[in-house]
This record gives sequence, C-alpha cells and structure tokens, in this order.
Amino acid sequence: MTRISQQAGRYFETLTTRFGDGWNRFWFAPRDPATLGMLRILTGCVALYFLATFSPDLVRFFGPQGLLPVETVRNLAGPDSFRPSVLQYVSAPSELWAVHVAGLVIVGLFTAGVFTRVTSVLALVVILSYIHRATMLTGPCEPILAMTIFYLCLGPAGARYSVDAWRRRRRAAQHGGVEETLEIAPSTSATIATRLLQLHVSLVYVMMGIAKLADPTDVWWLGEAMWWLAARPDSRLVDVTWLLADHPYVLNGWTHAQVIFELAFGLLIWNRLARPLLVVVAAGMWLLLALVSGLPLFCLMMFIASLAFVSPAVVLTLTEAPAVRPGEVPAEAI
Amino acid sequence: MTSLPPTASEATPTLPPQGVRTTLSLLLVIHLFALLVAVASNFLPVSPMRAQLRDVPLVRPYLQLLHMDLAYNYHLTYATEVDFEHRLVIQLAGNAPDEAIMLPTELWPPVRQQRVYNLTRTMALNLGDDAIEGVLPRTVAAGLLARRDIATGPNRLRLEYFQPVRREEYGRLTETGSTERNGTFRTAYEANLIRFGGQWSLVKQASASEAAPVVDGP
Repeated sequence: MTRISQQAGRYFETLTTRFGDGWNRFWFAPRDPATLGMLRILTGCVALYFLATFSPDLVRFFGPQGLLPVETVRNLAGPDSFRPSVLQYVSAPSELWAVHVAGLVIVGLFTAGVFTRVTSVLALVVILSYIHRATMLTGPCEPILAMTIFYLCLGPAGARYSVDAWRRRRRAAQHGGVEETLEIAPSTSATIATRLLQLHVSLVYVMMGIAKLADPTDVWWLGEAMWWLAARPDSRLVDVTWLLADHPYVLNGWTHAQVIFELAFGLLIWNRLARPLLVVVAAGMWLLLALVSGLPLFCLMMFIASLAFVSPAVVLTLTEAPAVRPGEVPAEAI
Repeated sequence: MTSLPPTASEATPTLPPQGVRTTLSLLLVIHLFALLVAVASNFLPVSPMRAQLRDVPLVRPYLQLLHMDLAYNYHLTYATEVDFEHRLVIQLAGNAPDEAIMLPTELWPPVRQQRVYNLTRTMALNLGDDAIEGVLPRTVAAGLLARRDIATGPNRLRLEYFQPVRREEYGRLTETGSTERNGTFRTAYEANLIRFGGQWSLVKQASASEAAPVVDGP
C-alpha cells in the first residue's frame, strides 16, 4: 500500500513538474517580435480598409435620421449588453466625420508602427467602436480582426518593421551607434501575444469545422455546401456554378476538403513538421473560398491570423539577416 | 571534438521572475476560461450548466467588450433561408405606386454590400420573435424613407431572400434559357408601413381579413 502511494506521489510530482516546465516554456520563453511586426502591418492594412469602406455609408448608417439609430441598436442588444462605442456619442455628420478621420489616422499610425504601444490600444478602441456601434452590420470577419488587434496590443508589435524601430536606429546612430541599442531583444510579451493568438486561431478553425459537422441539413456531409455558397449571385466574386454544376465530384471534393482542412489546421498546426504545409494550403483554401463566398475580408483575415504560426526566424529570413546565431536557441524550437 | 549546441529541450531559456510568471499565468487562465465560456455557452443547444457559465461575474462583459462572446461556429451555409442573400424592399404607395426602394443596391467595394447583407440577415434571424422581428425593418425603412423625404403611406415592406436553384435543376434551366436559372426571390416577411402620429408603424398582415400592428414608432 505504501509503495503504491509512493509511486502515485512520484507520478503526480513528475506530472506537475513537467506540466510546469512545459507551461513556462510555452508561455514565457522569450521570442523575437518579428512575427508580431509582420502581423501588425497586415492586420493594420485590413483594419484601414475596414474603416475606409465605412466612409461612404457613415452618415447613412449612423447620422441623424440614419438607418441605425443608437436607441434601436441599444434596445435590440438588451439591457445587459456591454458594448461601448465612441460612435454612440456622436451623430451629427461633422462629428461623425471628425471621429472617422481620427480613427483612420490612428489605425494608419498603428499600421506604420508609430508609438505602437499606444496606437495599438487606440486602434483596438477604434475598431471595437465600429463593431459595437452596430453589431448587426458585422459578419465573421470582425471578430477575427478584433481578436488579432487585441493580441497585438499585448506584445511588442512595433519592435520591428515600424517607424518606432527606424527612430530607435536613428537615435542609436546619433548617439554613437552602440550595437546593443540596435539589438531587438526577444521578449516574453511577444511569446504571450503570439501564443494567445495561435490558440485562439486554432479554436476558431476547430469550431468552424465542428459547426460544419453539426450541419442539420446535411449539405456539408452530402458535399453540396460549396454549391449553395457559389450559387448566391450577389455575394460571389467569381461565378463557378458552370463548373460545379457539371462536375459533382469537384463540388463534393471541394466541400469535404474545406471541412477536413479546417479541422486539420486547428489540430495539426501544433505539429512543427506539418506547419509549413498547412500554412501554404491555407493560402489556397482561403483564396478559393473568398472567390465563391463573397467574404474576401474574412478569408484574408483568417489567413493573416493563421500566419501567427510562422516562426520569427522565417520572417527574419525573408526580411533581413538571420536572427538565430549558432548556439542560440531558435524561438520556434520552444 | 566539438560539442553540439544544446537542443531546445536541454537549453533553459531566460524566464521572467516567479512572481511575474504566477501573475501572468493567472491572467492567462482567466482569459482562456472566458474563451471557453464563450464557445461553450453559444454553440448548439446549451445545458443549464453551460448556460450558467455565462453568469460567472465579469465574464460576459469582458467577452462582449472584446467582441469575443461567440462560438466562432462559422458554418458559412446550411442552405437554409437565413443563409441566402436577403433584401429589404419598400414598395411605395401614393404618387409612385410602381417605385420601390431596395436595400442593398449594388455597392462597391463588395465589403459594403456584405455589410448590408449582414443587416438584412439579422432581420431574417429575428423573424419569428414577435417582440423584435419588426424593430429593425421598421427603423431601417423609416431611415430610407426619411432620406427621400417620403412621409406618406401606406407603403408595403417586404424582406425577400434569394433562393438559388438546386444544382440538379441548374443545367436544365440553363439549357432552356430560363431567366430563373440562378434562382428566384421569395418573401420571408411582409408588412404595411403606415404613417401615424408623425412616426412610421409596421402592420403585419397575416391574412386578408386580419391585420395586427407589430411595431410602433418611438
């Protein structure tokens, strides 16, 4: 009996120690912020486009005698709803435009990486303000956009590929060019931001796959779902109904591949060997889906969020000198 | 003989101090729990326990604030009515009996059009709930009419959806040159827009002999 309890004790000791070590490595091992820098630029561009496309409809939706008065939106959301928005406090066209232009400037600064620690938080406030002002205008893209910017706020997203980085280099050059000041140290906050985004993206992929498996009308199981997406004339960007109508196996294969891809990405992306392959496949799958579904911004945002799995070393290899020197632990190995 | 560089498992990366790690771990666990609540309480029929998870203090406002209060169950289509494109049609009465205001009209870039489809889809999702089904159509219709300075009624409001043809029928309809080879518009909701007391009200006509007001203006 004593031996069993000793073995059980040792088992739990090993379990907690290994879990603790794994937890610490996963969340806190410092990593280079290169991936976050790349994500900041890409997400910022989408956020800018998202905001800019509100310009023609700004007064029509939110202005006086607009289609979506604040009171109606608030009543539909219910008394328990907590969705604050800067746009709830303005309705005059001049005020709306002032807030809108300010929002565009803030998101532009965030994208360029100017005072990124501040502008990332402000950009999140701006994007959430538009989302919360009228959630009935939102589709699947907005949650992905909001979550990506939220996680970029947590890490040093402006440490690379930014005006902040350029200003730091220039300052260092003016003060004698000490090499250390030019070095961008790997940081724990970069790891936390990246890991949170990775986990959240995986969750989204898995839930998308499960939602299709839970299909009450069986169109995903029957391999016909892509037809129903492609057959919506006003939404699609490209008409492929001629192809899908005559080639049922193409239709079935594409539909099933979409579900398999979503589930596979969510689960297998954690395997380092499968990662590059899945990211490349994701580019193709999201491009095809964007063309038929009429949700290009959502598809683009899903692909950008998926790039959180690209290691900083790869980003650095593509953009500048290799970050990992001999003997140094590569960030992606952790 | 040169030694190999340490592998990832052998190397100990520089970690933050224990106190910082503990605090951050606690915050991470809280955030991950909130995400779990969002998914568990929004997806498929919800058990009482899953529903109660939302009542954990501060979880719901936290999720709503970050627009994360959802299950991310993007199925894209189940080929049901609400999955197709909806449009709001106001058939004008009075001086312009044949004129109609439509939402959306063709908008560019496509993301603008998609935004309006999200709006009309929300109207479709609210159908069946007598308390709110007419609120959004009436408000949007009032806005559309005000922008064209129309203050006379009654006007006819319809929420229509585009029903695409089944794949099997598509080939046959294409061969015959049918104008309906893509599909047809069907009515999901219909009501009269009546001006009363300076406000627009919506009167849903269930049958020819029956008319009941569903939403009054503020």
